[in-house]
Amino acid sequence: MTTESNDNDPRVSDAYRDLASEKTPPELDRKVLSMSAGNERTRYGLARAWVRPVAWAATIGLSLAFVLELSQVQDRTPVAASGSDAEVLDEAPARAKSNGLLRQELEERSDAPAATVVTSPPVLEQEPALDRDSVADEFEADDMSLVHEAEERARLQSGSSEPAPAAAEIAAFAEKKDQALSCDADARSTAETWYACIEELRRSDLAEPARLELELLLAEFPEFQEPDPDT
Amino acid sequence: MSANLQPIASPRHGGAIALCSEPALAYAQAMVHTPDDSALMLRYGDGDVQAFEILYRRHNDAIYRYLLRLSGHRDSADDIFQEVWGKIIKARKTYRPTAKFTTFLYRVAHNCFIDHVRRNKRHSNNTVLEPELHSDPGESPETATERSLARERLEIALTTLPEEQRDAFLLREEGGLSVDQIAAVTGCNRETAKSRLRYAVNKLRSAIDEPAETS
Repeated sequence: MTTESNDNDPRVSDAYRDLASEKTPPELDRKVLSMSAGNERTRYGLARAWVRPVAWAATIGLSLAFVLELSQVQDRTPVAASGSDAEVLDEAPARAKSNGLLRQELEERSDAPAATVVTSPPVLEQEPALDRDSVADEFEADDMSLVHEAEERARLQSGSSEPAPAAAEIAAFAEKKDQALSCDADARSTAETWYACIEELRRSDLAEPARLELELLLAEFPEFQEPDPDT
Repeated sequence: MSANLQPIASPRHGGAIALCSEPALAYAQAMVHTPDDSALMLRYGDGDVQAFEILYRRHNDAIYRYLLRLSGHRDSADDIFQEVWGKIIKARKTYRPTAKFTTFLYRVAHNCFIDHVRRNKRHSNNTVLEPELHSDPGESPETATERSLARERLEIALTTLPEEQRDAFLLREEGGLSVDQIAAVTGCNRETAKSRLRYAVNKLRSAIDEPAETS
């Protein structure tokens, strides 16, 4: 018969009592009693205490980044926002992209950040001057005439005989080129002048800007009938 | 029934219906002489920090030794010890004296140890703890040496016991738990708990008797 006395031997108990006489370290006593009075968190409680604020901070940070990104996207599409046609809205970013191609190309070649070149003239003065010849080789003759024009104008504005910094010239050139890639407000005042401008773009082998301008024209003047090219 | 004796059902007292003239002192009267562990815990739940200190002083060393022998590492024992008491402190508002407080306390300690084992596997390499040496002034050197050797053999035997058997033995020795309570704490049936305890005691007895048998 098995009884509980078989599970309990006084000699073993005594030997164990003799062996196990450790006391709780005083610093542990202090910590636990301090915890009991609500003065101290547990080690794991302390780790958990970080989780919530960090999660909140991350959520707020991500939300702000998302809102900023959204607002920037809206800023980049002013034409699309003013138009009523959904198709125009869809095409607007592509048009903006097309208009900015040359500027982007110039900026990439000059290894200068886009925002710096266009919006921060004081910084431009500190930028290293570009090798004018190497830039000039990249453009065709008509492009170079624009460059020279910008150079002349910059020289006149600064009132000095020294040539203006090359980055400023390129920025001015890019601006002019942008204008050349699209029709201005005067051209867009009537359907006929607008279409004439589009024809001009086509003749200049700028098929994509011409197509975009035509779409804008049709959106603005739905009644406008494009003349048959054969007639 | 006297007009001022009203039956009260308190969820803090396990939903039991008690008769008393002053419900706020329902448990206070029972601990005028020897405050019960559960009563102390309930008092602590009501904001009496001194009650917790009494409770803590009653069990701290036993719980510490239980965790120390179970884990085999002082650092681990320190960590688990804090975690155990942290949980007891956290449970003060929800504590219900449905079972003996010691059973509740050792169940928390047992579970914390299991969680600790799952978190880090280092406990598997149990080390033999250095026993704290005590010597009686009137003890002869031979007796002192024999006792020291016996302690060492017991310590080694405890370390080599399977974890479940060691757990059962320590719950009996440190917590003073019965077989049923050991079964409740370790989550096994009574027979299993009893068997583990018996095996543990037999092995430890053999370890103590080993030199006598050999000589």
